[in-house]
Amino acid sequence: MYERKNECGKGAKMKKLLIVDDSPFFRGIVKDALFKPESGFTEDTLKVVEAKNKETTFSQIDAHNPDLVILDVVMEDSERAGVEILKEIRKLHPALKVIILSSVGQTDIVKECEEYGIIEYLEKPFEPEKLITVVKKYL
Amino acid sequence: MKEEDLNKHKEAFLNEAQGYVNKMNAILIELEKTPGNVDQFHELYRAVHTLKSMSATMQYIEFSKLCHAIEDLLETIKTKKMKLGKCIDVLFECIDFIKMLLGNIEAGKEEENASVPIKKIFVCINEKLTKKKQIFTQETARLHAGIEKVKSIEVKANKLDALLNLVEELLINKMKLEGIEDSLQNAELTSTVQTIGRVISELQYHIMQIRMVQIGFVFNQFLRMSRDLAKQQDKLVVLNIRGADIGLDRSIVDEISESLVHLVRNAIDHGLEPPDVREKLNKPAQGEIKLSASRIKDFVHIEISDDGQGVDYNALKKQGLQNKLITENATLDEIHNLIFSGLSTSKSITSVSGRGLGLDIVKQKIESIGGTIRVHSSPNKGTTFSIEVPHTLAVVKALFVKVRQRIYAIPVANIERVVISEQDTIKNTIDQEAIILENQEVPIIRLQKLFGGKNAISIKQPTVIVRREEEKLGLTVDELMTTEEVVIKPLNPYINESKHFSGSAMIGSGEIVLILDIAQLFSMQPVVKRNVI
Repeated sequence: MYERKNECGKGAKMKKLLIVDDSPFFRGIVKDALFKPESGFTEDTLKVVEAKNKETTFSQIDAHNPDLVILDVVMEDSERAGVEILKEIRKLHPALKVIILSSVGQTDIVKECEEYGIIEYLEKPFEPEKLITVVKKYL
Repeated sequence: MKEEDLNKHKEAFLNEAQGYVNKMNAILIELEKTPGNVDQFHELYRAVHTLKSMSATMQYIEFSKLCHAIEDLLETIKTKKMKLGKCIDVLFECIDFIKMLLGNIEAGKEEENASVPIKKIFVCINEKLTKKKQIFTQETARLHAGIEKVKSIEVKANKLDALLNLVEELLINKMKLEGIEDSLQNAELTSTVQTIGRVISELQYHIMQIRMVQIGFVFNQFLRMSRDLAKQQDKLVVLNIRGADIGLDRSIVDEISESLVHLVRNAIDHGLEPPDVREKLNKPAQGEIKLSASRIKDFVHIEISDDGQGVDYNALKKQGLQNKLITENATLDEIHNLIFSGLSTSKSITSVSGRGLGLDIVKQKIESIGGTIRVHSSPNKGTTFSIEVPHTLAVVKALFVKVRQRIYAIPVANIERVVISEQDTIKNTIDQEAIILENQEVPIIRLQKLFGGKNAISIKQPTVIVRREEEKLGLTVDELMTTEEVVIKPLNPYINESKHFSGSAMIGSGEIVLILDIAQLFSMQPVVKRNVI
């Protein structure tokens, strides 16, 4: 308890990250990777919130104001769900940092996403170390 | 991702995947009724796509390969604007197969090979693409030739195993028959036994041929793996394959493919530099990995080489010296071989970090099937791993020896020669006995002692000299017997613990003999002496 207080006392601001993926399995995998011991993140320094579609993405953004979004592209309702969400994010939250996490071989969609402004593009399946490095770079 | 990390997600995977399978079934049923339903088709596509990513993340190779093939089929249908037509049956079959794979995963069993449904998918794709062109020629051909004859058939691998077992029975009975023939001395019997012997050898040869798998089967899987890995790490890689048609027994392919994956991964992860670094070094931005196979007598030689940064020789030497694994005047090869000692996991070898991780296990695995692995590396030019494995595992020629009234087998491939060592030529040092052969000290292991007896000192002791690469080792036995071909069987797990044996075989008398694991006996040696006196 003491340590926790101490950390807050230092003014270490809790970072917030939003995972958007329709698959609970993948949300679990991403979350697990972020809290691996080598990442240095703990539940006291990083808050992870989740969304499974466009609607919940924006309600979560409004509720938590995340610093970073990890966004899947192909979702249950559309092959381009991620692109549509990204467009909307740019309209409503122009400065919000977005990382695309999508399956291999979707170069066309990635190019399109790049036009709307993303900070990084990662492919599934990913190495946890790579995800940690990228997330730490921007948080 | 590590296996233990993934296990946590197995349940979530199974739940979600099962949901997708049900959904795919429902969509297909719907599409069968209304093939033009674009929305349903896209939903199917998305389900397969997600399953592919999920299974790849969980490292279920067969599963993700199958999903990838289904995706290819759907893509072809989409872009060529073709109807689902006959493919719908194949798609149903694929879903059933996925369901079975999920069952395997749930039961903790190994994944079943998905090559059968994948093949069907490709037949479907090719048929669709070439159907129009072929219609005319096929019709004419049918008129001329009638029904096409079946030239090759698919046989389940376990049926081949059963055939091999029968050959083993035959071999044992042949040996019995030879015993009878010896005691009866009947000319007619002798010639019949000889004929039977020849027929059995031929039968065995043909079965071994059928069991051969082309190494290309493994190599070709690396094309995609290297592409994906390179992409992940922003590297440019071209993979060149040579000798893909070289045949290897299925059991050997099973044993080595994991090691090959490891070496190719290593080459991309740690060998090849990023394009900008390569250009600074005046190398082409695109790195090259070469996979080649060739047959040398009873062995298959496999080489995996990259043109990357090479092993950090100095750091490796320093580590080797610190750990007293080498001496100051160690040769280049000796230093390179440290890579197999699990050394370079150490933090101080930063530029090759991870290079050594697991390479000790690769070496162990290859040696356990009677193979060898060597490494050669030059700074900035690259690293080459050379592997030699026997082209078949199942049948080996072995020398039978008697130790403490029991018979053991030593694979002939490992034997250098047999000598009769006289007690007074055996040199005794503190922890090791050795005999002197051509001015070279060859350490010996007394099998009598190893197998629980006292040091039986007899004046003349038969000693089998075995070798592993340049090293030699003498094994003293009580009696030398015959040389025979034996069919190797895996050991019962409880015997395996003793680690001196690589397998077992049955001989004519019905007795089970244990086959000595030469690689293990070598690794028992504390220091192998090579000093010339």
